[in-house]
Amino acid sequence: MILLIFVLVLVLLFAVQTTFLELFSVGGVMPDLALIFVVYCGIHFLRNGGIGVGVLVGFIQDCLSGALFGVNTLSKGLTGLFFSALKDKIIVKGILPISFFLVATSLFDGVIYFSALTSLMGAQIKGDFMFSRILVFAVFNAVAGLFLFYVLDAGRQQLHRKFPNQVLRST
Amino acid sequence: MPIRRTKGKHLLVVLAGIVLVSLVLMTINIRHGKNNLFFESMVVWAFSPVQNLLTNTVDSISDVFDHYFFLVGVSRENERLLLEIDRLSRKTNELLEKSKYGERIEKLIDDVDQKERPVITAEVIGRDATQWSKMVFINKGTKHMIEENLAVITDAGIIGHVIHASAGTSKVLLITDSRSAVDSLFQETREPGVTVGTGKDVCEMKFVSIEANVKVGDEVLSSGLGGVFPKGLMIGRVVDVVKKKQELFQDITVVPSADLSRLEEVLIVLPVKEDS
Repeated sequence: MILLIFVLVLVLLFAVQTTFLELFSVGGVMPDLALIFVVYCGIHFLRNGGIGVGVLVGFIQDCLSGALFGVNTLSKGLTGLFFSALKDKIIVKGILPISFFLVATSLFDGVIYFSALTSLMGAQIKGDFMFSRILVFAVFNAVAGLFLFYVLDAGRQQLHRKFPNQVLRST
Repeated sequence: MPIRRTKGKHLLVVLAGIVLVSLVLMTINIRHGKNNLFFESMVVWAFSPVQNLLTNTVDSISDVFDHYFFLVGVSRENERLLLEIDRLSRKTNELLEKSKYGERIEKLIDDVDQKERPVITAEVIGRDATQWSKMVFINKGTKHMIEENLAVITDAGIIGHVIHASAGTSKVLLITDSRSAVDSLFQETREPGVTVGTGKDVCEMKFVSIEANVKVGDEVLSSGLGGVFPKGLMIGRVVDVVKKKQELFQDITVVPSADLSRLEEVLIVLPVKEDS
């Protein structure tokens, strides 16, 4: 049942990301729901579940993108790994910690993408444009992330009430 | 202590695995170029019904808003449009005359290469799942004769080309993507150049000689070179020209003639069938 719900959430997130999320874009920049989801799963999946989620989400994002295949698998996989490894050592609760980690992860994601695009694909992108875009992207993710974290938290608690499990953190 | 060391080693192995898998995927992508990857087609196939459903729902809702709630100013808009119709009627007459003249000239020219290009209409059902790439999904694929490297246009002009086609869905790389390049020329001066994407909402026209006479408002067309885009399709309009004395080429900014942020229906230009 948990797997089914997980798949449904994933499908819904990507469907929203690739359809009407653009309506909320600011200057062509919109939040990356997949990235926020990976950060959330990295923190709240027990054991090393977040790593698998990161790689899977990155892979699906690669399939649904026109960019270089594998870039998202790399960045999301590493994000999942980072949060899975450090979830017991860091506190990601409350507005400031969540925002901080989302901004940091978004900067990391953007830099990986920018590097891959310019070095491996030879794309010509002006650095100042790209970095300002990454900054807006990071801030946007932090804001959208607060809302998505709240929704996912509510869903996780509901899930634990109906289906107590050893996959997600209960608190 | 040994447990911590084992955990550290385990994480290191996972890290190496992630990097390795990603590099393998990137290498496959770069080496195989635009060839279809099986899993890519599978994921696109799995997500396309949900994308279709959501796009249709959002379209229906926005249609209700456009046609019911946003009626303020319709009367003024109507008056403005009536004036516009008068102006356009005069313009149509002028163009009709020019068109007939053109037809007469055309009959005089033995244009063997000029063949009607078949087109297929498709709907845009989704956009790129990331920030950084400018790509859209359309609801036509290989079963509708869509293949890679076909030009995709609207009535306003070129929007991009197909980079991946699965059975019922295809990916279209927009001309504003930083990896896009269209061989082009200016409509009036016939000066050649290459229109490349910038990742923003505009394109840049590269390799236009500093000597060339380019001004704001000039229209840019596809040159037909490169084999993807047929000759003479509208790409956009020049909005900025910067000439630097020490440079060989001008910095030219081009706004795409098609509104790439509001794509709904598009046309895919199919290859011309050779008569047997």
